[in-house]
Amino acid sequence: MTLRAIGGLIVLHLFFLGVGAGILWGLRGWQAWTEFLRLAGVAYLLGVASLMTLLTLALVIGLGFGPPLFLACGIALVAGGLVLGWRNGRPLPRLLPRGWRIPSPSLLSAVLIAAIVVYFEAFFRSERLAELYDWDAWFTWTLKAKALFYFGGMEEWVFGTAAHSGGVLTSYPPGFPAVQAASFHAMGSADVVTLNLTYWFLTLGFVAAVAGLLAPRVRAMILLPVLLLALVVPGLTGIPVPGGADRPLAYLVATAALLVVLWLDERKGWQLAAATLLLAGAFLTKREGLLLGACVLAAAFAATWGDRRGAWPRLALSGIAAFVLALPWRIWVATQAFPDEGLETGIFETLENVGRAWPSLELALRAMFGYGFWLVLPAVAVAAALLAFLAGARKPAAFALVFLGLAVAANTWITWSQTFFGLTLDYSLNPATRFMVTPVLTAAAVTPLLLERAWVAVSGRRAGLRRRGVRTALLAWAIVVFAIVAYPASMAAGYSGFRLPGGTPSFPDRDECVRAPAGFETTEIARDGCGRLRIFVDDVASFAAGEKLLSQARAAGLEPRLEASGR
Amino acid sequence: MVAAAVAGIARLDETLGLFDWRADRNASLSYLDREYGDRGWALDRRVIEDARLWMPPDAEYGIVLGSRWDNLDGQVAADFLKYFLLPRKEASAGSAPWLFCYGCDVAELASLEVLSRGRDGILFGRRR
Repeated sequence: MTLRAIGGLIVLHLFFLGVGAGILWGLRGWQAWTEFLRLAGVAYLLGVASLMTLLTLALVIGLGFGPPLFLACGIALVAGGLVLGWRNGRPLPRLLPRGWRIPSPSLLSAVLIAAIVVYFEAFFRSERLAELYDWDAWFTWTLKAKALFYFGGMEEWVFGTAAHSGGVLTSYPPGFPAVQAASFHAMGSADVVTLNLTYWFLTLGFVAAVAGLLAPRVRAMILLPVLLLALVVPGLTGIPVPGGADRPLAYLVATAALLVVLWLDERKGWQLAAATLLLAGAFLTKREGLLLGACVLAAAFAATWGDRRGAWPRLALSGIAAFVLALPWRIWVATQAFPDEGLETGIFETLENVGRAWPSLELALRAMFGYGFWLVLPAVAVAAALLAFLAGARKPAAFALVFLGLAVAANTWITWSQTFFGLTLDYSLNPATRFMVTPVLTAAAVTPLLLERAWVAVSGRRAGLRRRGVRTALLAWAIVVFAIVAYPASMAAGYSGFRLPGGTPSFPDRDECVRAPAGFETTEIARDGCGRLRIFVDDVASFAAGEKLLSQARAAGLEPRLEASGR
Repeated sequence: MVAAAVAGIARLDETLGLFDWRADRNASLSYLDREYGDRGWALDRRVIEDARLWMPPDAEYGIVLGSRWDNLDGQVAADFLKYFLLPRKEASAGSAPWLFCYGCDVAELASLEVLSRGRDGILFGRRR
């Protein structure tokens, strides 16, 4: 909750960015640093995914988790990327490409950028002091993160079968808990409150990745509205960030899917290689990652049916490589003799429940297209795919349609086969809408490209940088700067006005507890707001006696203070 | 594209209001409110706070669910202790020096020195 904790998180996520930059340098390099800036979101997600993969491997083989291991894994990945880049003869990048000019967005684009900036400011403010309330968050993820932080390894009673009072979801991979445990180290304590800001960094990374990949290919007036819509859909904002791993999974899969879609047309090796690393990270984020990653690859196979001789071997290699990277964890789980937590019923029992099939499909379709969850986003994605298909962009359109179809089928199968899930969209009884976070964000990532293809077919004009007058450019950037300043300024002035009068932000730490005792003030032993005991010793005879008492208390490991009553 | 823009901008105001409301609410919580969350998983915070004060960080504790708590609430409460009390470890209830009991009959736990007693038969104590 302190500035130091927030600072620690910033350093950690810059470390993810640095690691990812090393890998991206090995995979493709960049000719100018402005190009790296454009791809910083991709680099960041590559850093997260690669570190999760390597840390999981380290945990499986029994290495102790802690800052030395984390740093060593990061340095190893950067070194690998640099060696690969050196072997591929990457030239040192220039600061700016030749003829570079400051981008000048249109006024409408500037308004949309300003809206996204304000969104992130408000999102940061809402997460900074949020509590970790969700059962899934603390039971599945943060429990393991705290265990890694305190014990430095996969404790048997948390990760294994020796849980004494009921099971822990043991077959869930430790990739995301490893990120959370690294966050605790970076913050200096197991601060489960500031930990919520992890989702802010990941969301920013995802938006930056999609925007960076699509910026040279899609005009801003198509890209920005879809990005804004994806950020504000009630399925993401309607409930507080629950502390689970659905969002990290969605960001990794959606970015991998976008890279695969770009590869379908452009066939640049780095795109498929980066997608492979992101998918491996997704496999080690949640068990559903395997299912959703399979949907991505199956959609890519279907989209390249006409070019299967050229595309399929490389797609197959990508899928196998991602699976192999996640294989140590699967082997570890298989050797632990855990009860199968994923499937309540096998395939034959599922067929016996055929009566659930149709209601499950209906539920999955409502989870995908429900306006209350995702507004018009999935409908826009389907329409964009159909338009792009008609416009001749067959591969990306086929990918999008097959992927969304497979996602609905997968969600149907989950509800159908797991009879303990109710036939309802109630979040606490069935995770159908949570499962859809990944497909919907994947649709959001791919939709701008589909719309651009359809638009180009109609208008004949490709996306490109337009030069605008100095006045327009200055006004556009003034709008963005105004948005950056206006939101915190309005908060300081007390704009929100729900309960607080406004003012500068506070960064509470344990000292606030001393000022906020929770009852028992009239007794000699009081409990403070942090659950600590305050022990009062009244009527100390003299200052010298007080000093002696202080030294005794310090020797006992207490934190004593001498207060004069003023008499 | 127009549909996406209209829907996104229309929803933005509501989203910002929601974020602001949450931020204000979070700011009004106490340190312990934020640590526990507001879902009531702990069942009785006072007993858990007493337990945190009594048990050193390397302590091992057991959890006993009495017949009255043979339900989801009791199990979730036990799960919450696993998470919340770290780095204190859960151990077998038969041998752990510290014990939580949800809905137990105290008479059956003669060896237990009860250190904190909450509502609905929730106890914390140590073996004599």
